[in-house]
Amino acid sequence: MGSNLDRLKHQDWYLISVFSIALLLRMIPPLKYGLPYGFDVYEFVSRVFVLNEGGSVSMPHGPLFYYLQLVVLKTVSYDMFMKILTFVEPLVFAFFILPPYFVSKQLKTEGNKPVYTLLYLAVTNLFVHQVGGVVIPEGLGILFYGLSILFSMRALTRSWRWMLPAMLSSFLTAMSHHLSAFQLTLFFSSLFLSYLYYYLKQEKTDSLLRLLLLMFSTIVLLLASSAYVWSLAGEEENMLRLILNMVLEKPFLLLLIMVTMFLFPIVTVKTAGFVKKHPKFTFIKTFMSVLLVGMLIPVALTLMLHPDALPTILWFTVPISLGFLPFTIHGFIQYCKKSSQYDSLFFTAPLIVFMIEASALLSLGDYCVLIHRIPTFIMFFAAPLAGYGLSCFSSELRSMEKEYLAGMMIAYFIFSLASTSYPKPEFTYGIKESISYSELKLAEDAYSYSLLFNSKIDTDTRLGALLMFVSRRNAFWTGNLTSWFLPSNSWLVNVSVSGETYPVEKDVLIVISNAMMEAYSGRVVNLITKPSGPLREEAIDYLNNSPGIDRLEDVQNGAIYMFSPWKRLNQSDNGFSSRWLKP
Amino acid sequence: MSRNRGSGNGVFFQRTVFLMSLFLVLLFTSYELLETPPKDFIAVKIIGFKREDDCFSIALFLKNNSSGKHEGHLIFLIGYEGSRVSEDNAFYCFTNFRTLGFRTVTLNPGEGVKLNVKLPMDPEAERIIIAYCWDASEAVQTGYYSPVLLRRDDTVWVQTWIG
Repeated sequence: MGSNLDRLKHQDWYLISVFSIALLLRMIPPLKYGLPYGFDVYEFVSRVFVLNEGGSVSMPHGPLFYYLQLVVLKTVSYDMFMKILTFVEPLVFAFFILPPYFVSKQLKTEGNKPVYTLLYLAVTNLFVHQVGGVVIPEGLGILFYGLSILFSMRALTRSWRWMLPAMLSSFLTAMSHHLSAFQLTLFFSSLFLSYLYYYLKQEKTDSLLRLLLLMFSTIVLLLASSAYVWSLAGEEENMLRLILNMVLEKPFLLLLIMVTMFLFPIVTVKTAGFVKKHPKFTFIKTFMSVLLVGMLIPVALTLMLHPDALPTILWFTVPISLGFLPFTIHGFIQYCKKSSQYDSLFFTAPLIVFMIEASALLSLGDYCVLIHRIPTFIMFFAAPLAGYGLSCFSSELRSMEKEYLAGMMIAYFIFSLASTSYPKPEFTYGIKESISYSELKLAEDAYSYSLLFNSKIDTDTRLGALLMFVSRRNAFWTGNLTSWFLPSNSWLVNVSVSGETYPVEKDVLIVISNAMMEAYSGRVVNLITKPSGPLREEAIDYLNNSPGIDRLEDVQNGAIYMFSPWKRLNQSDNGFSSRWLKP
Repeated sequence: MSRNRGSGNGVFFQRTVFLMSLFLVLLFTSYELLETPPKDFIAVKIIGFKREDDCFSIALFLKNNSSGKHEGHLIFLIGYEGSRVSEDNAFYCFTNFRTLGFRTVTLNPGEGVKLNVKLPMDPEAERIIIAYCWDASEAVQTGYYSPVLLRRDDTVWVQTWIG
């Protein structure tokens, strides 16, 4: 009894230490920057701010996240709201890692230690970055996605009644984040098809039939709620609808989906059976093959699709290929071996459908960039298997020396996962969520200049959102908040799209940043569906050398230009000394 | 006997993993928090401009938004017809400019200074460039006419057209 109490205490300490790691890692950016890391300024300015002013806006991710922010904004002052976003939100979102931990606790296989799952959830770079680290709807969507998985597992292993909370959390997923809803639809569809095949072939019980009916209802509910969210989204704003349109436009893909649906359950059931019976999957073989495949495939695909993204891919992929993937595969194999086919289908079916989804996404032309959103969902689902794999690995060590050596190596793998959570600027291809102080300064000063000169401001969507944020939507920005999908007719946008310069308007401040320039792989209009381009050398040359265009400010990362601003001021004011810009 | 205590059930492994992971993450967190915050940037802006009878009066604001002290040169360049500014990843190049003068400005961390600059009238001048460069090796001489090359990472500059 005493030793049991001691063990219980040890487990508690492990849990406390792991959760401390999770909180510490998620608090690094707020403490270091003092700004909400990865805060989607664009989303906030274009949705929550508008709702706060009583306007109506499209809500492409689903309305829940925006309304939660709105409630906080209405409850506290604006400054307090920013502090909550910066310091409280990462702490709250850190708890969103718990659903897979509880899934892990459901695994009844021998030797399972769920605390390893929590360790992975606490440190894995993609989770730290996207679940808790950044202020985006995805975090909320992933929470409900995880809860739906947890409840459906309980429904399959305990009682069908657990499908009711699973349905509720599925609905909340659809209301929170469209890609989470899409992923969850795939999850439930894979389970439905596989367990239907299992029901027809092996176990014709009433309870399983009832469960299948409820699962089908959940899929219908998810699709209906997603369709409702689509109706809230503006034209071309919903990625899910874009993908669906693209699939419908290609009859070949539709045929492929039909064939896949037919063959899928057979493949999953056979795979689970094959893994169970095949004796030769040792950890060393798994580790070596995963290392080879986990490194080679991402590198080859990146070199083929986006060679310039290679440093980012390596930054995230190497630690995952070393520390996460081998243990997930090992856990999957061991779980299939040690549990019944009914239980192992719960992991086999979704994992196979996620792999098919990834392959299909890669074949979708311009939309293949969406592939970078999928790993987080897959890994969130597979985290209990990684934890189980590590548990199995630890129990296979037969001496203290081996345990020590392996323990040190795993600790360094864990460290490599943690230390790559927030990529350094040189590794941030397409990951520019963090707000830089110089850009904030540029936006603030552009707003001050525009008030002084009574002028409009031309800048890209990213800085434009920042500008609207610092001016609380009062700035006269020539861009528009839907310019992700509908580029505005401004000088910067036109020049970046066409590559041709033309005279700038006289009452416009032009704000440029290094992030827009070709030399920095920049984009002025960062679109998937519309032509886009960086600000080329000719445009910068034009701004620097056209007579009359003053360079009013330089903050190293960007600059502000305007045509004859002081002449304009003197003409309107007969002297300017009383209206100097405040430092 | 004691050597094998805990072996086989993974307890020692578990302790090693958790203690070492916690230690490494704590080290990493400390390093990240102690590392210079990525606030580092110098900003220069024109806050006022006036054409007087015999000179141009320019009000500048220079701010050090970094945690390090910066000692640099404020360089005044007058551009004539055909003057040209070009830039690449590494340098700014000012061609056909005359260096009117320079002065040393030291900025402590977080310090901002307001500078009132008076530059004499030059009927042939087309534009004025004021650059702040904090690389000591970039010092230039007054009256210098050849292209002025300033390292991009160590320079901020503003310009106004007077022609």
